[in-house]
Amino acid sequence: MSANYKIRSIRKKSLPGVTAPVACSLDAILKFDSAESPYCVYSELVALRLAQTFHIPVASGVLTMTGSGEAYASIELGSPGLRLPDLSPPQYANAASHYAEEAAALVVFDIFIGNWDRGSNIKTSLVTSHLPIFQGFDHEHGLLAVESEPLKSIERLARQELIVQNHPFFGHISHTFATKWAERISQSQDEMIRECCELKRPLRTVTTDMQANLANALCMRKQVLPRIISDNMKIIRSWR
Amino acid sequence: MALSLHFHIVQYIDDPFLSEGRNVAVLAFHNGRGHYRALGVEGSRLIPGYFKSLSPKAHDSEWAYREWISWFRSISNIRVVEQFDEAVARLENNNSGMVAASEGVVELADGYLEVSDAMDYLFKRLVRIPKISPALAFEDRLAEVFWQAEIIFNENFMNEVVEVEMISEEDESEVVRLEFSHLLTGYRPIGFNTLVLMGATQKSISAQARRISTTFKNAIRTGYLQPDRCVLLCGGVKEKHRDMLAQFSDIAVVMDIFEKSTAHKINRLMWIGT
Repeated sequence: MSANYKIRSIRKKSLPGVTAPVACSLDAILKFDSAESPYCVYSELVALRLAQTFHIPVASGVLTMTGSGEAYASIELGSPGLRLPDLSPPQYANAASHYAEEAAALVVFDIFIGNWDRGSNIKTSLVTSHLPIFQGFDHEHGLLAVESEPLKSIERLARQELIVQNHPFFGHISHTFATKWAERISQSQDEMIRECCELKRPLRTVTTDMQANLANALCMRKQVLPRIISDNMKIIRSWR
Repeated sequence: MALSLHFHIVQYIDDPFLSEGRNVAVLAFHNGRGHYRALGVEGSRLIPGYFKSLSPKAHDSEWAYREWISWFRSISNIRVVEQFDEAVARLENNNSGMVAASEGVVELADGYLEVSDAMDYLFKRLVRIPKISPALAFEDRLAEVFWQAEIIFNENFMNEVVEVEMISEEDESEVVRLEFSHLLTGYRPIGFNTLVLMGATQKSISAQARRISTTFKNAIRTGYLQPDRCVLLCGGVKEKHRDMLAQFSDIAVVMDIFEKSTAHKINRLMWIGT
């Protein structure tokens, strides 16, 4: 290099402005309570709050107001105009191998909230190596919707029961990671779970009492979660 | 004997409000396994330019389309019809992006007895292949060359427009800015600039060539690059371009990205510097 010049900076060429702010809109799926899923909005919101508390990889969302009342907006993953595909069954093993830690976290979380309907509700990037994406979505069948009635759901969650009998990652996750995530959730403070579940106001048809009862059930469930995982490791580690 | 095939057409819908879709793939389940044909997929090779040609949004969604191709390929590994139907049902519920728009049954005979032939026939009939603009063809080929050269795996490679600021040690107010389309930083950096010749006017080519030439000259003058590490990447070089390209003879290496040896040349250049 010539002695007369030195490098001051090497940077990608960007737009003017320190943070280069631009207006944007995000694609989202709006979810409402319905006759088939009467506690969908609450369950989605609380599942998100719990997942964010434990750092479980689930899709972001937000509670929003619509003409029909409060709804849950689940933010789409992908590129503008082209969301990512839902995971297909032949991709389960590959996704669990690519994202071993995340897959184990999701299995343990689904068991914790009693989400028996994970199915293909996962978005991942499998060929875009510079953009790792792994997020579960759709939690309306967990928490208050484990059973057809919310009180029965709460009772069942409080019991030391696996609930989730099928999961795309059963048979594909490691014992070590599953145990690690179960311990992590188990060691969380009760207060944190209560803060996730209790909104201090009714949300649509979910009363504050129901919210408090759910929080109690989950506090009990988290304590026995490592035991639920270890007792059912044969099911969790076997391919179905 | 006729072959009866139940198929689904997958459309790409750019704007959910307009709901105008373009057929991009055909899916079917036959003889105990899934089958697909998708835009831009030729055997194991993917030509993203076809999808990127559909719209500006599609152009920016290339990476997501690659994920969809991976998904389509996984569909061909499905052996259970219920799983196939569920995957299609999920596409039917979409209102934008990839949508299973319609389905049909085709009865084929006379030379279409194999399901792969039938899929080829349906794809040809149902999916119109868009034209790829010269600029897009250049972009795709460049990505392929960088991948083949393995330079994209080098952690010092900046696969985007980069600005290098050089300052004079004697007079710090003297700043020289060097702009590269791609840059390999490190002990012996390589600065790349691209010049698309196909489909561009002579005036535009001359203006771009002047700008790039100035950049390379400044890079050499300031000592940031040596002439053999200033790389001009162009495509579709014809006889009429020779005079214009002659101005780079002492200041850069000119490479035609459509030549087979280009990836190897870049790879060699990368290793010489390490």
